[in-house]
Amino acid sequence: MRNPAQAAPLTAIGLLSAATLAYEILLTRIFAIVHWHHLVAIAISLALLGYGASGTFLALTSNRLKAHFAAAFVANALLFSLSALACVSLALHMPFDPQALTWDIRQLLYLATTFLILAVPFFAAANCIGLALWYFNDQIPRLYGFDLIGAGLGAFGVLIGLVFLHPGDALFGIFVSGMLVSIAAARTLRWHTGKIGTLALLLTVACALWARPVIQPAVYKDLAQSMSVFGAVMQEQLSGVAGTVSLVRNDAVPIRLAPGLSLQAEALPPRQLAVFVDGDAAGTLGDYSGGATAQAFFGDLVSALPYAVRQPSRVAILNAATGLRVQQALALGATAITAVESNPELYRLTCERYPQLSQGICDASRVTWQIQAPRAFIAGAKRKFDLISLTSEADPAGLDALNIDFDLTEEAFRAYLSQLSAQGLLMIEGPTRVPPRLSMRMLNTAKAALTDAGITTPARHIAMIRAWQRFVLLVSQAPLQPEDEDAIRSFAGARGFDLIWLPRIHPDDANRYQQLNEPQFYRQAATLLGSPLAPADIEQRFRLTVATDDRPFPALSTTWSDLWRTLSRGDKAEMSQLDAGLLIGSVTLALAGIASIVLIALPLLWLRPATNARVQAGARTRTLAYFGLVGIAFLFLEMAWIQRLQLFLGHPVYATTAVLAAFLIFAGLGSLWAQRHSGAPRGRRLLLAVGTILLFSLVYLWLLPGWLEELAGLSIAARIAIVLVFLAPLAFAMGIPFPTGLENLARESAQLIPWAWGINGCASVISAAAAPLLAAAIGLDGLIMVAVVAYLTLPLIRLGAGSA
Amino acid sequence: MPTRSMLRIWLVSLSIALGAGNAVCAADDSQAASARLWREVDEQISQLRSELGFDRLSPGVREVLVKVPRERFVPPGERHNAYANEPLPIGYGQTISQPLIVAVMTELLQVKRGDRIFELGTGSAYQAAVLDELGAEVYSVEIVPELGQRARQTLDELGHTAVNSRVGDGYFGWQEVAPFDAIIVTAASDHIPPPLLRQLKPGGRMVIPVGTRYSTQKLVLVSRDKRGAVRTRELLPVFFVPLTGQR
Repeated sequence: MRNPAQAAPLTAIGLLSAATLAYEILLTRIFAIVHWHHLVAIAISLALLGYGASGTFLALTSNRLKAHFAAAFVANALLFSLSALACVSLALHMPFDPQALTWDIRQLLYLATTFLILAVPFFAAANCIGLALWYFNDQIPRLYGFDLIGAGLGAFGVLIGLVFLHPGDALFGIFVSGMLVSIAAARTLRWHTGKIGTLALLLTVACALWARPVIQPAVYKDLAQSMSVFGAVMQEQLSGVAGTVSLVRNDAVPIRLAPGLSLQAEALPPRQLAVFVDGDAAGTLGDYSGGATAQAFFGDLVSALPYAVRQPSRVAILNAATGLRVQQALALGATAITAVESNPELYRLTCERYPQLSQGICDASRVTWQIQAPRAFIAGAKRKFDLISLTSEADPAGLDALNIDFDLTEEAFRAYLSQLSAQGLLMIEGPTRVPPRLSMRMLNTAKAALTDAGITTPARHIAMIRAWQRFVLLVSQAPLQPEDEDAIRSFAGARGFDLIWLPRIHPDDANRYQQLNEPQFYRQAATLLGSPLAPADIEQRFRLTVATDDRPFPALSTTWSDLWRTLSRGDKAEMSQLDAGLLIGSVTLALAGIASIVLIALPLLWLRPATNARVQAGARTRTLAYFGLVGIAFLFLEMAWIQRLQLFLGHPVYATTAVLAAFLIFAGLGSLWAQRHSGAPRGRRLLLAVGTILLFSLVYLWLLPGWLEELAGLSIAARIAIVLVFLAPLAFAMGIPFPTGLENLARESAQLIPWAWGINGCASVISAAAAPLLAAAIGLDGLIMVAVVAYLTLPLIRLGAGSA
Repeated sequence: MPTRSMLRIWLVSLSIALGAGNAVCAADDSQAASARLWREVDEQISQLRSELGFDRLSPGVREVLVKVPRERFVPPGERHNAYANEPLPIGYGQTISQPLIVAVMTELLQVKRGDRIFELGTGSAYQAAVLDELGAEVYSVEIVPELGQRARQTLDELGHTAVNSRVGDGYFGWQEVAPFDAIIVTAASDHIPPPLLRQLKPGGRMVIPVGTRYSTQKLVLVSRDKRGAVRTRELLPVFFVPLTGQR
């Protein structure tokens, strides 16, 4: 029975939820540094796995735990605190290497172990919250409200924390928060441990301070590899929300970056210092000044093509990073350059900390730096450019297959074209892969954008060449003239670059210098552009469809049928052609599914006989359907908006934080509203919520992209505030179905509450892992519509009916 | 707890028996695994004849590949996999190449006794040992000191003392002994270092696996004609270790 002297630990719940959400967002940063950078789905899935497993655990043990509620709550808060540190430490020691996933079965074990280890803190936190909800079941909406509002505030807390703290220090802050939760809960619940308890707590903090984990990249990452080289020295590290920037110097074995350098080049790249963002290579700082030498070096890069065709004066370099392309533009004669870079730390390093290393690119009289995302810059640009240049560094093995990239979509290309002068050029440079994939998707996307702009002969506006593992796509505002083509042929021929497409290309022009067994690039390009010389029997194994804002996955090349066929054959050579990112996404979904079944569903089946006498099967099925659908719908909407709003907010961390915060804060308020109207018929309340979700989802699908484009030039704080305002009514309504369902169960089948909690968690785990894959398959709008349909089904399910 | 004690004794006895058995069988297993591996490589090369331009290894190359003990070039924890046709980790984010690739690269180099060969990326030193066994004069550079030292030690232990190796910058090749009849780049790069191209004799051959990390990559044969013009030909897809850093 409940101790009447005990008050609900609202402060502890709020603080714990804040720490848990901060840990969830921090995991995405830690994943980015240690492994790779687009793991939002895995972090969210992990969180929900912990919550789901907790639901099952409570269903099995809650009667015993209820008798020792205060001790159980405090113990789980302590477990959260300690495991947040210890589990990250353990995971950091796991030798997971995604590169080896297709040929080393142990990698699956490492990934699964990492997945399970990192879910432990969420499990502990969910135990606290689940226990509190059951123990104080007359205050469910209130507790739920504190839980969600705390989580929302935690999201902003960690965002602010990451401005000042390295992720390792922020993790320690989460540990301390967990300790404070324990203390606050012990006080509220009147559970006294005496001086020994206080001493133990202090000792634990001291030990944790001494043994806190160092967040460093895995051994296979660029930074770790560079640091293992003879003579490497870490010159400087800057930490910010958008990533940790590292500068490495090596005087013994200098770094020399020269992507797409001609095989005939005489001039050497200069000594450079390597720059990394979250352990991934992001550019170099080096002094290329030197008149003729610099001109020769930059002129021998494949990205010099537009400068050889026309003499662009006003140039916009999008994703300028540390300014290699800016130096090239300066060396090749551009007079007014705008460098656009969304990561402020890269600019800080380049132009504030080490301006002497890259002379000229920080000279304000010739180069204007804009710290914003390319789409936002283009949307607000006041003048036209002779050249807009954009480089994609999508991983050629397809690790970025599920990475959202709004800079390479049809809508983006349209925006770039609209900002070109009459003779302006758009240049897209990127890595090649054989058979061709990204290069051909970009070609197809350019063709679609030109067609949208009213151009009836897009093939006459396009030129494409390839160099050593790089391609350059040139899209011209005006049709390419014979003299333009001559200039391209001359440039490519002198440097040993191969032609892929020219309006008047002959099949014999292709595949001359860097020979493939067949001229695959030319054949694909000719087919996509509808050339009469295109071969009739070309094989189309890979996805070459147009990338759009609805499906912003330009690096995704594996089709679903190919994925299934290849995995079922199990041939390693074939598997090596699959996009690594899609493979990891699929493996993660499988792991999430297995973990959910083992940790959530199977124990619940085992539990079944114990409650069978009291609860009819129908009630259990309806509970499963209701809370399963709530989990699916909530997560699909959350994931879809996290992905969609990356365009507006410019970085995944901002989008994740703003959307999680908006959904949790306003869903929490929705929950409180549900409590205030608990007297009203629950069916009507649910209908109102579902109707609101439908209305706002449809309105936002149609109108929000246009509104947000108008507001893209505002500061990041203003844009986050706008996201909160826009998502508030939707999230408010989304907060109602879950507590309404729990309230139903509390009145009619209270023993099913932990079960409902577990089912909801299980559905959420799988949904979070499935959402990126589903978005790639049916688009972000499709994902939102699936969620809306799931919500619309809820009023049809009568919860609680049938209980004995 | 007699049951638990008996179980423990049984497990200890079993592990001793298995351990002894393993020691006796290890040499035989290794030979059998090696034979299986090279038969598999023969079959794969035969299947890849249209991409490679040859359908079998030359007898000299095959003999050397069978002779050089791959298990001595992999870390102790990976020795049970030494004769699997897969790349294996050797530490520092690097791998020893898949045997098929070592075989193909060696064949592509068309090594003759006394040829001077430069290797960028010593790694485990397996490739250097194979080239040395073929009678080439090998110059190899490694940029990770620990790997370079371990490679030198392995080479010496196995009697490949003629291999010239050093830890340092391989971007400029080995100027003192250039030009080379062949160059092998056992680590991928974002561009081919121009100094290496200049150190390749006219008519010489360079084999280089390209791409970036995680990538299924292509094995590229780079040739320089008598006039100095450089052309490349891409061959089979291959997993390969990335070139350390951002070159």
